[in-house]
Amino acid sequence: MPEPSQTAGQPSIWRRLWIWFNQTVGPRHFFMTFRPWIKWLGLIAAVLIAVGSVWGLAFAPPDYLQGNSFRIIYIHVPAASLAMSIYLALAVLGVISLVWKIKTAEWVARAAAPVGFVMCVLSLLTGAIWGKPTWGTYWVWDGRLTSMLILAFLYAGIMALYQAFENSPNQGKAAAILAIVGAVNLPIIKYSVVWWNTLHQGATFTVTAAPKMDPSMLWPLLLTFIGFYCWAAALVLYRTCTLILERERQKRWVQEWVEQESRS
Amino acid sequence: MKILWQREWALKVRTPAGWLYPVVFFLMVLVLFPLAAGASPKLLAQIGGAAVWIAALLSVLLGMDSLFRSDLDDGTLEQVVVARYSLPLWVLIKVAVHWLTSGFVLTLLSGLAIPLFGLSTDEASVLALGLLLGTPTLTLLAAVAAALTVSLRGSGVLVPLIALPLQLPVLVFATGAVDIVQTGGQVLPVLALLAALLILAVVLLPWAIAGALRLALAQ
Repeated sequence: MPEPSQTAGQPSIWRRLWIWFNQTVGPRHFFMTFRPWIKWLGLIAAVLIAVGSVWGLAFAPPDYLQGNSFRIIYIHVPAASLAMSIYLALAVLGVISLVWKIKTAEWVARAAAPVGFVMCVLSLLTGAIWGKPTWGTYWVWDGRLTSMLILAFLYAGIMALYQAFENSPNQGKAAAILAIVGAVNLPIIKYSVVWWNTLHQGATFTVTAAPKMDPSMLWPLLLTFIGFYCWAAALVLYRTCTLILERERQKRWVQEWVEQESRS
Repeated sequence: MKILWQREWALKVRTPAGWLYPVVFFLMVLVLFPLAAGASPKLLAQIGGAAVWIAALLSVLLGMDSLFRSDLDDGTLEQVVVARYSLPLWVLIKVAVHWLTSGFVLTLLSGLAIPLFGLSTDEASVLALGLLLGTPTLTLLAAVAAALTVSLRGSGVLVPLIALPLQLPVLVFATGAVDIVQTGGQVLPVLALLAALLILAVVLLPWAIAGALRLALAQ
């Protein structure tokens, strides 16, 4: 008869990781863990965006071709990147909520969808504003702009699905399926500047090569970039926590927490 | 599987409203273009491909709305799930029959673009080929939207709203093919892209549609 192993009776590291994950995504643990993050993320975001914008708007040197109109990049690039990242998050969260039936994933997706939509519209608007002095036109029907517009419509469709299933327990699932089906648009957007001739600029930043942008313009961009991401994270967490409170309002922990908050 | 095919076919053929109205709608939308844009032959030759495609797209969306609703209402959907029959396969059969009576008919009717819009035979054949490859993809994508909203009453404009962003790449490629023929370029790569989209749609979308239908059943 084989010897019992040393670790018999103690779960493996993977098992423990999985158990920890399952606990944290429970609504109550999620709420308690991530609620303090909101303040800090918001603070970091405020600082980074403030510093980055002021640096970018006032102190970075004007571009040799575009003059001062390039400065809208400090809003345009983070917003566009966020729009795509949030859609990817919606697709991943959709898979998680459909496969492992984790409710919290649905709620985070529900919270994130409007944020992504606003970022997408913001990037389209700032892009149009940037395009007028640089390219001479507000809009052109090239690959990058059209696929970002399609992304905006996809977001609208997802939000419409959330709205339509408002009173159903399966609210998140239909939107999850749409998010997954529409995720095919993301590589099209990313590579549209590579595949098609376009007015839009090609990739300036890659993970593997040195950036082609001058450091004096690059640093404020990185600051606002990270600042926008922190802001979006804070927003999404705040909305998720509100959703948790709303959906779990029958539970005792919610009522105790609300009482505790109103007393302090 | 043969029985399912026969069932769908019989159901489809016996309700003229199901397959006749989208075809009539297609023709009416086609007619709208010369009426709205003025009947100058040069303009019509330029927008002919686009007009046919927009008419086909709208017709597909229109006919898709109630594809699954009657099956949900009368319990057929539940029977398919309870019998543990492959739901994606059932979906594929249903969509195939629907396409044969709508999208395929539109492909054949696109030959009308020659007299109505003054397209050359080359352009019309590329148009027809594009429709042959593209309308099944459009139908499948619209079926995803229909399956997602099947349990909603009065979903109305929601199906086009959900389906259109997904269908736009097909539209862009297919009308691009007609443009390429008009300017005398190589049309095979674009048609190959359309074929690739079709293969992706046929392989992946039935699972998404089946998932959405199960969701509707669970309501």
